[in-house]
Amino acid sequence: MVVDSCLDRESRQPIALKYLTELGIDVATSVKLFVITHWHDDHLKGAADILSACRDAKFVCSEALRSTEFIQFVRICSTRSFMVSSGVDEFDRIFEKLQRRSTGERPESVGPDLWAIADRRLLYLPKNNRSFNVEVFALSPSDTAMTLALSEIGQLLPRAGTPKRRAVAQRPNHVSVALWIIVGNLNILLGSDLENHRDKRLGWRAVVLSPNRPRGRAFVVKVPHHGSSNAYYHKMWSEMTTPEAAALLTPFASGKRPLPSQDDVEKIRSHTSQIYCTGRPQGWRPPRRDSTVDKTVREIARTRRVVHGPMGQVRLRLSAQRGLDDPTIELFGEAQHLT
Amino acid sequence: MKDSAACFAIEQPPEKPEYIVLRDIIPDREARYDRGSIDNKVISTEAPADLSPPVEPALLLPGPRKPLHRFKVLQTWEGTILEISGDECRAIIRDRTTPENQDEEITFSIEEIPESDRPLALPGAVFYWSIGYDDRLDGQRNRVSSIRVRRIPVWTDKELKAARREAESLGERIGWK
Repeated sequence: MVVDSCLDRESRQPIALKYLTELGIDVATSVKLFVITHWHDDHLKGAADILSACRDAKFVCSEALRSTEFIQFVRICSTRSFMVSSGVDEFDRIFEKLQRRSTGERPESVGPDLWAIADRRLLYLPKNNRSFNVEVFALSPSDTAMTLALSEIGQLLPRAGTPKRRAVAQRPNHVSVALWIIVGNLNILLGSDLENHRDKRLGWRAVVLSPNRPRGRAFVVKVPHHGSSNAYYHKMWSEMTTPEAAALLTPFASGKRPLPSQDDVEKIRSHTSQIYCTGRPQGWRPPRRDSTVDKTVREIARTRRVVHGPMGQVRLRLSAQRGLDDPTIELFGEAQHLT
Repeated sequence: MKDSAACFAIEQPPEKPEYIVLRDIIPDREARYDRGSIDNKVISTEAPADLSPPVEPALLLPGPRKPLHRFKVLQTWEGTILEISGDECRAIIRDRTTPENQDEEITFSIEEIPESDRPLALPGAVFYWSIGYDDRLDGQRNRVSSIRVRRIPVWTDKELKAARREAESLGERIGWK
């Protein structure tokens, strides 16, 4: 299973494909599910290549993206506005791959692609030859989020007479697909970019309150929305995770302030001390330029930072031989244990 | 960095333009005046071939001009506005001088955008930011930061309807409809 995509800085390959291929895994037949949690740039780069390589995988994305308005939005931004926005551009490439798949490039036994909506089971692999079963559930978007999202996507469409501007990501992320993975008797929570909301029908409140969600507690959490305070919901931690669960964070240097902040990390620390981050939370320093240029930029720019830099990886592995309750965590590159 | 610097002349009309007067390049001006004139006592009932009134040589063309300013560009970025919040603009900028550099995210005062461009400064708008020297012919040099928002065409109803049809057709082809 592959969730979202980003590129390796050197090879420009999708990192997931590079990693699985280096492990000797045949991605064409072994990957059963490819999930795009939402359409923002930082979750999509290289996604079309993954879709192309993982021939037998079902493609999953939020039900909200199924609308004609979303397809129209993507087509408008990528083909007619002559301007580049990598998120919608990548989705346009995904559409191209999906067209090819629908015309016989994929075995019929794989079945149709799936739409993620709260509490839907996306994958079930019975025990058969292995010692555990595997299930994957979508925890979001809720029905209310769907209604809201369709209206928001409609508002993204330009009106006649308005300038052809670039597509800029909208927030908050109501339609992000959070996932619940069951491996034997262990649970994993992938929080995507789903945010919290006062309305109990939206965001994490809706997930926690849902009577139909799979029960249990997760021992691994991909912390939602880069650990931001607007994605923090204490009941998600207290009711859906085990004490001292492994919290995996991905930093985000874009936005008004880099994520996670120290305050954000402290909130997570109140639930677990096992916090691992794939890179530097503060962003990266801009390169030095001509001294006149640097001096002028300092006078003009109130804040300034590089938003993409070297990233690391956190690898959590479960061994079927040793028993699933003995995970190992390894850090690579810029990844760090936030102590 | 200096290798990639460029110069642009800023076209400004000189305060006292130099002109070329066309009088000097009309060879038969006097001859034309002589035809049918009273001084020569010639009376003709035939319509003259050329009924146009005599024209004073008033056509002036501007002569060669020297630019009063030269803008020496040290650095340019192409930016996309992400958000306008109060008096602050948040944007992502891409280095056009050294394209290998990573994108940067910056915030700056909306006052940095010329007043005439501010109505265009909306999320998604593209702008160009240049830093350089403004060299004047009188020898003065000023350090300059210039942000200009790109003027872009507007969506037409025809384009939007075509995109809608295309989206419906694409949705059917990929099995989403």
